[in-house]
Amino acid sequence: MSQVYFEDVEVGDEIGPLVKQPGVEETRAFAELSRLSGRFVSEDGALREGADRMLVSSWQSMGYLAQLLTNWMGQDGFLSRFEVFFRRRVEPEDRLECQAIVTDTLAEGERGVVTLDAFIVNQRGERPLQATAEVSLPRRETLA
Amino acid sequence: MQETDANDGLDFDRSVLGVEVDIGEYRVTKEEIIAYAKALGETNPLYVDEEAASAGPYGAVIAPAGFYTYMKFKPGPNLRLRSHEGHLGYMAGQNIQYHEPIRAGDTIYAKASIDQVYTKTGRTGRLVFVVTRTTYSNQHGRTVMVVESSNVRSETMK
Repeated sequence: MSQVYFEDVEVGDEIGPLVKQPGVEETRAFAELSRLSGRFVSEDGALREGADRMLVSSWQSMGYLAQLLTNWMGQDGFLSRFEVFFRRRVEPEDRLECQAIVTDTLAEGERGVVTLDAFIVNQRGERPLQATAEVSLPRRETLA
Repeated sequence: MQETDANDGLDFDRSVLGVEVDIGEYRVTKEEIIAYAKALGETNPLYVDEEAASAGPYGAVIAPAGFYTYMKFKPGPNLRLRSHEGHLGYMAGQNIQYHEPIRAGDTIYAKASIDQVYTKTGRTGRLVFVVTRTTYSNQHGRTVMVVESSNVRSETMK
């Protein structure tokens, strides 16, 4: 995993996509690990809860979007803020493209803060998750 | 969508608003972090490779950003929000401030409060939002993260 430095980042830089397509089994496995049940585990569970079909949990889809950012920032990066809005439901087998774009950069002492808009686009072109994030990155010039 | 105030016909226990409650502690293991990370398809060695993580900046396996959803604590404050009964709820948003990573071996202490209850009226009827704030601290007394979670229930759907 390579390290991104603050000086390497510019407003408008695009990150990703990280593509995920969780199937029924992967969705169920994550849900059971996370002690979720009902609509996150099976179609029957969804019907019992009054939902019309099985869903990928917000925790799982949010985890994918965070993964895009933490993969990008490298081991010395730090995700300091992550604000996620869940706009639409995510279903098993949806193709999820996790993407982000840099919207601001600010040098702060020995590190720099990068602000990003992050989102997931599904196969229908919808954005079920929309987020803003702040990532703290090391600066090259303070390493010398 | 029109926002109305929290007192607009909602039947709930207002005495719990803003009152922080201790919801217990959770001992984080390396095995749980790795299992959680792998369930998301993570390959970051900080999360899944003990040897690499030990040589990394934190000296141990650390938890991915969403791991707090895995940790289980006691139930938080109970609003006794009667209009919620029988309605399917979902997550509207999460605002997470990270202060330092959760490390394998940490004991995490959590406190929660319900900070806000409000309604919005949309095309499908009235939506009831409940905003909960949870503060997670480690065994050193340092805050590791603060999560504001907004949950919503529609009064028109089962």
